[in-house]
Amino acid sequence: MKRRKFLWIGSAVVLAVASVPAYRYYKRKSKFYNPLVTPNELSRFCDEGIIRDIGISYRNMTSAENEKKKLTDLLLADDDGKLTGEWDNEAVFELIDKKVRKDFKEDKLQVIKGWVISTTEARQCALFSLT
Amino acid sequence: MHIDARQLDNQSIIEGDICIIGAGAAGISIALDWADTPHKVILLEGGGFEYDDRIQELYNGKLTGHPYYPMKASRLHYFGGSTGHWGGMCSTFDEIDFVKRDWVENSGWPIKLEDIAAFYPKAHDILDLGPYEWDVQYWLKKNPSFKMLPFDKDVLWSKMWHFSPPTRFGSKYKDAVVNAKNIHLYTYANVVDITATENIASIKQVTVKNYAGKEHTVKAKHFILACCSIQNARILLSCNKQVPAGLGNNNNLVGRYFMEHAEIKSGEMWLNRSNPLMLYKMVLQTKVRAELAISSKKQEELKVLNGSVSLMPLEYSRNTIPSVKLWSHEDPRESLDSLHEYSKLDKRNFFQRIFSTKDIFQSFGLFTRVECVPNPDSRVVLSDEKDELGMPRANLHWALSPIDKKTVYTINKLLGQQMGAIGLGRVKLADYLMDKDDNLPDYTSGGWHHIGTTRMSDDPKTGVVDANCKVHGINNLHIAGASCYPTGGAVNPTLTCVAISLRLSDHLKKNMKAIV
Repeated sequence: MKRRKFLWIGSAVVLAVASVPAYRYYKRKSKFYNPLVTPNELSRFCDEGIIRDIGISYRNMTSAENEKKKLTDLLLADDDGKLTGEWDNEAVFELIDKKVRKDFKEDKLQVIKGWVISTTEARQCALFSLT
Repeated sequence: MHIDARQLDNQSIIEGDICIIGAGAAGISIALDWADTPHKVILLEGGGFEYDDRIQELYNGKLTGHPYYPMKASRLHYFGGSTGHWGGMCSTFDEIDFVKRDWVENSGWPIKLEDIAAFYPKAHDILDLGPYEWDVQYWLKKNPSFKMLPFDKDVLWSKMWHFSPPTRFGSKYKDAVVNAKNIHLYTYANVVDITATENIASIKQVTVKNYAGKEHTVKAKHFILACCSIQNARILLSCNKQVPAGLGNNNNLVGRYFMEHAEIKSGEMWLNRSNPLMLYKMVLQTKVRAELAISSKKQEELKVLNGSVSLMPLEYSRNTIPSVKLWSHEDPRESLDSLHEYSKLDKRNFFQRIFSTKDIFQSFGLFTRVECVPNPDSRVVLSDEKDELGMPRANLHWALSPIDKKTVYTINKLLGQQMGAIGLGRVKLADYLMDKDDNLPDYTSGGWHHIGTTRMSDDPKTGVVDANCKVHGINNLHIAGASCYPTGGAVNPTLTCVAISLRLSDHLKKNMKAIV
């Protein structure tokens, strides 16, 4: 009885632990998930409404970037200006993650609606507000 | 020895070597430093050993400028002074606090941190602060549950704080003072006048008075004013029969540069993963904790003041009320009661929230304390109204400056930058930091920290006292405590107040003969 209980609990724990990365992998691969318009860390703390508001404010502040194509190109370009394919969620996710971290390190920040965010995150929010 | 000045014959003459005016943290620390010496120490206290509302009323006055705690309620007027209701939070000043900073008007001390630091260990003992260890590494080793946020120390660093029990000087040191053979404590001895020699080069005597209608004269070789910033300035300005502007006020500086710490909620910190951040936490029985302080390098680079951020669970922080709104009764006992009532109620609500919330350690409220720039218009002035003993009342005008708000904004933005750079989470600044107003909002509170009014400088044109806390031009009048600080530092003043008082005491001991 004890052994059975142990196996049950053990399996549940293994499943729970394994399901987190699996879910994240699925989420990134999903055709409905778009890492270009989803600021990964910020979206843990802000709902869609706030992300949209941040995006609208950023577009109002930065008229030169107030356009879907411009924002997309800025987000998809790496340091050398090379564009990553928009269809490759995994690659886009990695690129954006790197850019966000770099923005923070280089103090390329925006303070919008009180949130201290990277310029890349602000652009993601702006693009989200246009979708 | 204790003498109730109400019981003396009227017009008594009291004589001693040193006369300390005021028996609070500064005055008692100095008096005890002279215990068991051959010198006769006169320690004057306006009140008795217990709170007396009629005595407390002598502190009443009017407020203008930035909203502040009622004058009557922000200091205690009895033996032990305001240690009767202080919170016990202590930390040391930083090197930069003493430096002349070209971006901080009127900054710069004539002494360095090392001059004060020599007296910190003794002050530490007096305040019952535990081991004299201020390095965060010591506490990380000592307490395995402490984990330091891995920020760039050139941006934000973990500055340690110690918590006094808090030491109530009135109860803890009463016996030591009363039993010391050479210390003569006079209670109900309110100083109402100071008389200088004809050329105003030294002080001859002070006059004390009480509600019993008695008036006495105290003569000594040295006089130390230790009544804290507001009352020190009030006494000097009131003593104007020989010098119309008041004693030590040849350059119109007495009462000016009153400072406090601007203390305010400043935002929210959201973590990607739950973390109780034990090193930064303050709970009951906390002995030490850290705050996130802005580095000297960033202060200089971004032209801001010194300051730090403390953290508390957001569920708790969101419901806190600014101290300036809670501590609003003129009677300090009622103000204290309302603070206690609120914290009891808040604790109940907090525990309810703990059990109803999934994770209280994923989000923290930010609370920032910054020094305020020394501002000559932030000042203590005499009122036309007099108290029951005939002394003009003191009025206070507390003025803040735009750099205070810029500092709060900058520190919290830097915190957001560091959080993002190491992938820990995000920071959201408080709404008032996003508005266009240059100044901090009205609900910005002080920390009950009265600083300035008799600032220190080598030059009499820019300071009331010299580097040894001696009033310029008067060879036996000294001032003890935080009223001598030219800038307020970012930490609560008591530890440094005791240390600087001990430094003055040491100076007087070494120069006892030479000075007069």
